[in-house]
Amino acid sequence: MPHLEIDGAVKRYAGKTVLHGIDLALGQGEFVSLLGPSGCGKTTLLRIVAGFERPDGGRVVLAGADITDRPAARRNMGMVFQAYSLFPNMTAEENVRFGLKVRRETPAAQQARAAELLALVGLAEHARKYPHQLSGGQQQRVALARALAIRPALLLLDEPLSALDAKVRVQLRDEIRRIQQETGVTTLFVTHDQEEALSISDRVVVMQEGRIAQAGTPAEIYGEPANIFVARFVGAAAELRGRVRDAEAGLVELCGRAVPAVRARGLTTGAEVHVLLRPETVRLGPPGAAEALLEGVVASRVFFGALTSIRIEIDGGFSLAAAMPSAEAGAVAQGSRVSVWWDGEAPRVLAAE
Amino acid sequence: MRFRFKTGEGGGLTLAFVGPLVVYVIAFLVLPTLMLLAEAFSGKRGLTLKYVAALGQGQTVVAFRNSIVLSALAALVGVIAGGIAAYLVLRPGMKRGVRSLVTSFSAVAANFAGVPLAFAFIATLGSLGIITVWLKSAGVDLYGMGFSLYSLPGLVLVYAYFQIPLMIIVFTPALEALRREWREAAENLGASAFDYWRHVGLPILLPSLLSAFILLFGNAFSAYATPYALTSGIVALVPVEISNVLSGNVMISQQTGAALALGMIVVMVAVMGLYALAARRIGRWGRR
Amino acid sequence: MKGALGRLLPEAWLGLLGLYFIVPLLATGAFSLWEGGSRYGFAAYVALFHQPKLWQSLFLSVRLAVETILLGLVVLVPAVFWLNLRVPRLRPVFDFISVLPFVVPPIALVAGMTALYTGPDWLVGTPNYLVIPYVILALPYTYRALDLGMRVLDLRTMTEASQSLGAGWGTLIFRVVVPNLTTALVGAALLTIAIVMGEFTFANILLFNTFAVYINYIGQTSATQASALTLLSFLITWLAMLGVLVSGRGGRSVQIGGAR
Repeated sequence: MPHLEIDGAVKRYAGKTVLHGIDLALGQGEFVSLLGPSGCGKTTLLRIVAGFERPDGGRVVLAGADITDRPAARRNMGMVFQAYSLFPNMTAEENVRFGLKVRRETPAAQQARAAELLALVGLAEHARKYPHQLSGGQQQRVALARALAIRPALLLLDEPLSALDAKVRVQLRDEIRRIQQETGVTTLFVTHDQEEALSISDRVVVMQEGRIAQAGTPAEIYGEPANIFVARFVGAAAELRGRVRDAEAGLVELCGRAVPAVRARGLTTGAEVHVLLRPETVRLGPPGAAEALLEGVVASRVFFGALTSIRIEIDGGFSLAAAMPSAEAGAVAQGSRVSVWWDGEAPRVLAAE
Repeated sequence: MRFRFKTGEGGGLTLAFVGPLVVYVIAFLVLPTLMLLAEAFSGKRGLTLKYVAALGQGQTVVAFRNSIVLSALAALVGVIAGGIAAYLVLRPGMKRGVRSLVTSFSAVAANFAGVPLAFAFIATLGSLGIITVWLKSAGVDLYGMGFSLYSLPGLVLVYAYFQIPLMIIVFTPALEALRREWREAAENLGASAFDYWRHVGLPILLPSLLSAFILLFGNAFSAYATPYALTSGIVALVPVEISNVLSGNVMISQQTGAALALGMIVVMVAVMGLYALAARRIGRWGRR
Repeated sequence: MKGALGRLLPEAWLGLLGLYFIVPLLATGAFSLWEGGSRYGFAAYVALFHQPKLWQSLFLSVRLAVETILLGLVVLVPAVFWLNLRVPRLRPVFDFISVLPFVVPPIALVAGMTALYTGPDWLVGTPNYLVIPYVILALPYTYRALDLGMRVLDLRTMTEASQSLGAGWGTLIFRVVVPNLTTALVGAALLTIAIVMGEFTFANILLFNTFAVYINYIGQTSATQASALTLLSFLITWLAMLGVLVSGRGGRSVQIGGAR
């Protein structure tokens, strides 16, 4: 039996439907991310689970009990908000104790639990500080401790990292994962950052305009995007228009040339398709190399530290990007001609809409 | 050019730009106040405590007590009625039109005071006012029941007309600063609405409530035109007493008037001082 | 505290409050139209229209308002400009100075001023004298409006740009800074108008026949005409505040005047 089950959740605002019957189940101890651009309904779905919004249709079931009509205050869920959710009039410790205080736990129990959680998030020495005396990252740690203090049945994270600096964000992201695994709490995480979702989750649910576009492990989402929306949203890829040359042999036609694409097998010969190439799967070599599938000219190079991204104008009118270790990229000069190839397994082939 | 300004001439320029304001405030605010101080303590032959001591006498004590009680009541009514109104208007679900109507009307009503306000209430609830007469014909004799517009409770009723809107104006930003996340976080952690207000909402609002009370108190305390036009001396209030001295309506010395005025300033300073003390204790979590 | 009220129909509370604010205005309006007995008409308004003293007092108040705005700006603009540009460390001092008028009630200030300044006659003997304390009364609002207005300008860049083009301080302030402060200045000016048009304390004690003093005078003789003027006064306040709200769209600069 799943720990949390969302069953056909529908939500409308002023006649506009923002959730079209979402079905989603979380197993005990699972870490699931809701990923999507703003306005896709991910936050609304989280707020329905938390009890801040009432669904216009469907049910929310927690550990076998229908909680659709249960007020937020009696759902026993810990939630971490985007930012500034700590009570400014309480110290870090008082914030963490708040949920226990309103549960009328003994002061001793409150204190012990608060100390334990502040230690878990690494802020034991900052217990006496007020929120404004803490950095943004520290504030979010306190918020996490506060949410966990009540031993929640479910941990809800509403873009908790989006207001932080890039470096702190990565640090806290890893820490959230560590703490989640230590405590084993079932977690629902909302984010618009695909890197964040892929790196932290057991399972990623990509949402698009109030519907689930794809749900799967991070590797599945990245490697086997179910449609062009997911492919575009998750990771960078060159997107080439072509048609299936030979469905049986796994050949597609790009710029009048047949190139291998194993995933074209099973499609109809002659069908219009999108061919997606992740930059890291594109190989470059000198003109006339034996493996060459296409040829082109190096249009630009962008240095990203370990990797260098190289944009190539392919003869015949489209361009694609290749990522290669910077150490090897030195040989590829801007303006020079190169040949381009890839492994037949690499391209995703998606039917054009 | 700017290097020259930054170095040698900095002090002189600062004096040129800021000096006039300082001189103005000293000449027309500080010195007159000090003059009151000097006058209140000076008799025909040097220093005297006679006039200040006279503040402890019957009529004056009554005037101060009336003024303070009236101001405190008018501030309390304003804080409570205006605070609740501001809260209700800001609640989600309230129509935008209502919100902007209340905001703009508050701006007008908070500034609509003095003689016209007194007349408006006389026309409404005076002994011959329209509502009074109308109620009387309906069998309700307000004045027979002990109500009077020209009494302390009557004044509170009139003062509320500018106190409530003022409260709405100054309190709205404080209410808007209450983040939705706090309420939701509290709810999420299992708090009832009562828990939220008791532990989070009110403690956060307390400094604003306190400063609003002080502002409203001062606002009522220095009101002169309204009680002057309304009560013409039926209720003894300090501003009206001072004006009687200044206009020579009563046979009281200038020095007594100065002592009265000084008394008002002392009350204001004391109230502000209490506020500063309280705000420091309450707002310790907000200091940077 | 608010949970119980929330259930007690917030609309009822707001409606009751609305009634409290509307009824006196309606009653005043009805009263101003009363011509004795059961006759109603515009007699009071007609009579007022033919009162030269009303127009004199109204014009005097308008003139004082304009003079107060001008004197206030001349004293305040350079100071607030310099505080924002060069000596922000002095700002707390001036924030404090700007609220001092709250501590000294107008009636106390007028007592102090009459005791301190008894001459010269060309100054204290004319209504223009009122402008001096009016600037003090308006100080908290004018200072705040200007300070907020300048805080959002990038004064440093503006100053450096115009100085690099060879502008002097005077040109800079009145040709560059002031035009960029229109919103703040209009807000401050309209608040000043609201304050001065309703100001009674100083004018009454110093025996100058301003608009508010005239309303009080009429009130002794004709209750219906006083009601008509009351409505006119409300209208003036309303127009001034409407101006503040429109000019300061989005800002929270709406404040209160000093005609209690």
